[in-house]
Amino acid sequence: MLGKFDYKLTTQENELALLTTATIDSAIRYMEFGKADSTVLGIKLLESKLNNPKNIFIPEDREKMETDLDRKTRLLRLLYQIKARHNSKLDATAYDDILQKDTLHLLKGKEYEISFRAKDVIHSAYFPHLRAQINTVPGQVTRLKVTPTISTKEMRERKKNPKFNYVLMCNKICGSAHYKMKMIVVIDTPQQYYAWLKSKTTFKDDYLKPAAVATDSTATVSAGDSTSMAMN
Amino acid sequence: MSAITHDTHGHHDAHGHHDHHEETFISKYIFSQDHKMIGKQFLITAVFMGLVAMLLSLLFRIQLAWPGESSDFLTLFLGETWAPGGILKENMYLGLVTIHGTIMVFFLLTGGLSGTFSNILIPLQLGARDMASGFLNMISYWLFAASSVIMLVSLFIETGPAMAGWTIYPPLSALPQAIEGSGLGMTLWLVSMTLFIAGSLVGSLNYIVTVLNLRTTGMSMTRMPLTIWAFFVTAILGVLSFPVLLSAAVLLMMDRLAGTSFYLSDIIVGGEMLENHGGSPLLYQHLFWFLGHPEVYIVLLPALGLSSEIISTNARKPIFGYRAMIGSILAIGFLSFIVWGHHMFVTGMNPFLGSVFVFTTLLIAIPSAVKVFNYLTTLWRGSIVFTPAMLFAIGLVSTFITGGVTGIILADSALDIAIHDTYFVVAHFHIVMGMSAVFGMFAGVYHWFPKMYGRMLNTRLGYAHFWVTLVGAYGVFFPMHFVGLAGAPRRYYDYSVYNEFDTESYEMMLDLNVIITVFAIIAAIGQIIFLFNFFYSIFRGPKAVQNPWRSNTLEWTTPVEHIHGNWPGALPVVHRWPYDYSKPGAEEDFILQTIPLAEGEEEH
Repeated sequence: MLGKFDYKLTTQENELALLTTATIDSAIRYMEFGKADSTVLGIKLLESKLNNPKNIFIPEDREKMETDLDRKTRLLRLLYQIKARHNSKLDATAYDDILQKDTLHLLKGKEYEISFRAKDVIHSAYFPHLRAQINTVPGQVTRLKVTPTISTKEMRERKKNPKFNYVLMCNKICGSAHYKMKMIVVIDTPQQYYAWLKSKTTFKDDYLKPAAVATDSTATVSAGDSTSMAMN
Repeated sequence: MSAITHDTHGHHDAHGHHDHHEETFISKYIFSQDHKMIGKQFLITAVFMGLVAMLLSLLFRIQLAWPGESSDFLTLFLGETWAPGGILKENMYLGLVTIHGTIMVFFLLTGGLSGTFSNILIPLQLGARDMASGFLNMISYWLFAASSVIMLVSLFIETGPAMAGWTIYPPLSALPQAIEGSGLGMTLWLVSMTLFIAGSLVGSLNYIVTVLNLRTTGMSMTRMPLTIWAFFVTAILGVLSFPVLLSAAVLLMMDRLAGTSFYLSDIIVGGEMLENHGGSPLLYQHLFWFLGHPEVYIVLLPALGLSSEIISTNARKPIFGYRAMIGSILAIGFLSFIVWGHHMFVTGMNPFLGSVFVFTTLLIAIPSAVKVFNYLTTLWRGSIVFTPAMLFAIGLVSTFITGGVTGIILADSALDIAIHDTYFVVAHFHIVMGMSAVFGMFAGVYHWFPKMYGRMLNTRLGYAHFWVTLVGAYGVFFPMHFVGLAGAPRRYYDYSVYNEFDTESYEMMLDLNVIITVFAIIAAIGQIIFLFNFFYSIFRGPKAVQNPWRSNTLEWTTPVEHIHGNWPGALPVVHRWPYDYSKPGAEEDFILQTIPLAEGEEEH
């Protein structure tokens, strides 16, 4: 089963906003203290800056900080509600998820049910070669079922093009980078797939690692359309 | 509904005897309340807007055909802000596409077909002095003009015009952080459309009231020309569907300015976590397409109505299946309200609901096909006169078939999965709207030019215009089917991504895009023939006779010189339907509606 999620839990380490006890605490901390390098101000820092009589801000800046503070305070309240309601038995469903960012690997012949979310605007998950498409809508989950039947290797032979790849393209106008928003899809034979799978780590491994993980910012992440896949 | 008594029109007849009507330049040409002048105002404004939108399409087509190459043409029109180094900026590409679509659908096609021809023809073909309310008619034009100005102004502001596609789906259109055009540009778009909708509503109400109440003696509903039936049903569609677009726009305005969450939920944009929760972008889509679909029939029905008239007149044959034509217009009107979901097949809606929309969409193909068959059977064995208007009308029928059949494919939700939001859809709607409906508009202009301006357009230039447009437009839109089936998405600035996974497709798309653009440039230049013909003939065209096409309808019984109140004396009395062409036993091959039945003659 895929892990539960809530957009308020999104942080740099938890890009897919998965819901676990640890991520809730982390989100609360982030809301209160912001980023360590102060590029994002948390509630504490905002309050201290705004309440400090020695600080002088131009009206636009002050207004921006006040709006930010108000918003963060309300979001923090909601986060505490999430924390109070959270059932830690659900954590396991999130911890066993495998996250992949740059290429989507699918197993040939397996029937997939893929769930889609969107972070900022409507996008669309379009697999032209698989004749599959579904809009991804912020605020809801959409899903489609697809069974890839021809592996990348076989398709390369058919098309006599050794550089061919399947692709997942965005197909709903989403901003200036709409035309660049894509992810290469690889359809593996069972051998290739399980070999690849062995190299992947679960969310638990990545997230609960002691050191901060440097996430690489690819175009796909900033555009906001993501998939996570359950392993059963 | 049968004849209306003469007495109520007594004082109108007295109007006709007015010789002096103190008219200033302003009251005659600017703030006119005469339906004939207002119709021409709509036409000129719509054509001007259409030319602007056509120019915008050339600008982005140049980018598509020659991506990354500098273009002086782009620098000339867009400057360094939007085309640095002669290369179109990505966000302005989306802005051009958005405004092109908006202007073409609303300003050119709705204003230019409905606004122009409903205004000119309804009173004339019904035997009325003018519209039910000349004042409201004037207001409807000036709202249209004001909305046009605002839409054009939005192209010139600093943050750019609306950039979310003509369908302006939120959250993209609600969040300025997502794209610049969703700031002031989007606000101006919404204001412009609000004014447009207001003008359209006022106009539509006027048309409905006029058709129901101001028909002359003997003009029963089943003796009305099919143009009037089409305009009448179009106006009803407009009254019922435009307010829904207005509600969609108002809710969007509120989401943007008042912090509401109608369309927004759980959003993180530009690093900012927004508070909105509980809204749904799909609500907007439902509201928009509830108008969006009837809108395309609001565009198409007048074009079909005009064609009925032109084909019948120029084939010297009654329109085949007059009552079936009326039934089809009513069926299309009704069905157009229950098909909107076919624009939303891939939104994630329940497939069962999708299948309901598949069913209704396939149903609406039936009355459309009935109309096409009736045009073809009207032409069959007719004594066809190939005026430019007739060519365009036949062209409408032909392109409607081409565009319609791809509509059948798109209507099937299972097939739509692979082609939604690709160039296949773009090809489909451009052929039905950009060719069929536009041809209807051209046919109407060529056919009723003598009535509008008292002069004739040049026939040979008309033929040239027709062929360049037909070949050019097909050259633009036909290749798009193949590009779309290959999976090329819409609203893509370029197709460089294809280079990364399928170079063969990439080459094909580049080549096809060049062909499309070259044809677009040819077709655009071809419109100069029309513009020259149109403006030159207004002033220097050969003077028209009263009934140059030997047509039956009432507008050809008015004098060539325009007068307020249309007829100099009493209003005409109608004795027959408008399609008595080549009636056996008659002397002439046409019989005006005002001519009483001869002895022993039976009415159709």
